Amino acid sequence: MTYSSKTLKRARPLLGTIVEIGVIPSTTESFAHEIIHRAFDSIELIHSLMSRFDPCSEVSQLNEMRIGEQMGVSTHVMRVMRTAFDVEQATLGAFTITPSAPRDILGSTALAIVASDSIKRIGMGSIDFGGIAKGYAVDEAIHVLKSSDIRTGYVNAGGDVRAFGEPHSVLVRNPEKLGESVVSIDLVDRALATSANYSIDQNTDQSGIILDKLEEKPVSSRASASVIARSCMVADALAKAVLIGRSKMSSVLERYDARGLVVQGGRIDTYPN
Amino acid sequence: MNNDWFKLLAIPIATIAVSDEVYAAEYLTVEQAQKLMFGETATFEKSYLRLDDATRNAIKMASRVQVERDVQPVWTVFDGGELSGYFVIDEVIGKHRYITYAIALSPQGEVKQVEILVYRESYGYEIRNPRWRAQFVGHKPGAVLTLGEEIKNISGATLSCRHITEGVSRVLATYDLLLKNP
Repeated sequence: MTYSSKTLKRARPLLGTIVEIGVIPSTTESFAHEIIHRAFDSIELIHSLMSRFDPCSEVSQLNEMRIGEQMGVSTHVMRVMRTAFDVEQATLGAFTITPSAPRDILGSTALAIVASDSIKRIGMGSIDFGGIAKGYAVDEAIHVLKSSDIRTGYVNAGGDVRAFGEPHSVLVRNPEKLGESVVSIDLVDRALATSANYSIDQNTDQSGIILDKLEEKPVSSRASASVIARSCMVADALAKAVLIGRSKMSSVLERYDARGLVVQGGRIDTYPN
Repeated sequence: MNNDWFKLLAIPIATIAVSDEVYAAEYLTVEQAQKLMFGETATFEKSYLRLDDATRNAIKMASRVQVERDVQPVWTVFDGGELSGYFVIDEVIGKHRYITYAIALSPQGEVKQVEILVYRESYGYEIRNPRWRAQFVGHKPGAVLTLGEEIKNISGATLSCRHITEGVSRVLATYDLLLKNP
């Protein structure tokens, strides 16, 4: 990475991956450690609110509601919900937090925002923040660092990464040859997230078929899409949409002031192109 | 934003990192982790828990995790004359190589904090999108951490994180058998 040896780095197992936080201390090292600790705390808070499998989380409670019921939610859940609905509309459902619910022209048929802090269940279908919460957790941790007088830092949650201050280099892997990286990107006050569809035979952590909601067929294997955006939440959400939609997502990327790159078949395609 | 910033990309792939090069990120020394987890005034008494065949089997039964090692280093932590908890250094295999991490346990054996000390992997950036998150804090001994249950599975985890989850389970079972009410 491009940091000097002064960079303090810590890592914890969180968000189903190893989350790394690095900062250049603005004052003492012990103060910087304290700030990093607070940043990790903010990530744990987001998890506790948004985990679909923790019955106490707000997301679980939203999934428990009956049609017609509504509940108050935290500003965190509301922010993610608004962005998720926004990206879902813009990508015509290529990104969605309600994969099991049918979509109509107005968007989600499962949940609706009915007040600045309230969400109502209007139809069937559970929500899953899995494609956006990790990016938001990274944004929140960055916010903690920035508001604590740190001038250069980054948060990397297994490849959902955001950096501020000095440029932070990240490598994008070759989805067809996992030991290799194909491009290095210097992030300057930007976030990068990658959605990938690696094949099973390479002994990967997870492979999974990402279903193409626009074409109703599985996305071709061994491709990855990375999105660079101002916030990691938007990068996270758009990465999956770009993996599915490719050039169809160019105008969406422009709207969010984001850029996408797809690595597949020995080439890199960038969007908007 | 400068619209040209993205154009430097070469379209045909030129591989810039070679596989199988070991990358080691060193985050904290043992001493740094001890101070961060228990404070500057804490004192640490190191001991080695001997894990014979019977103990290893008992740990495996309780945690459902294979026990490879026959010695587990543990520090008993005191602060102001009081038992402050336990500090354990453990290693698990990540995707391919070992990850060294530290666990801070309360006197009652609850996980207070988990910090990675050294992360070693084949070179390359972690860009996959695992969708599960782990909750370690507040886990009590006796609870078996399994994916999709206590450790909530969102939709798949990195091997590194999964193996740390298993390591924490194993250490909690070790606490139950050898450290609780000594």
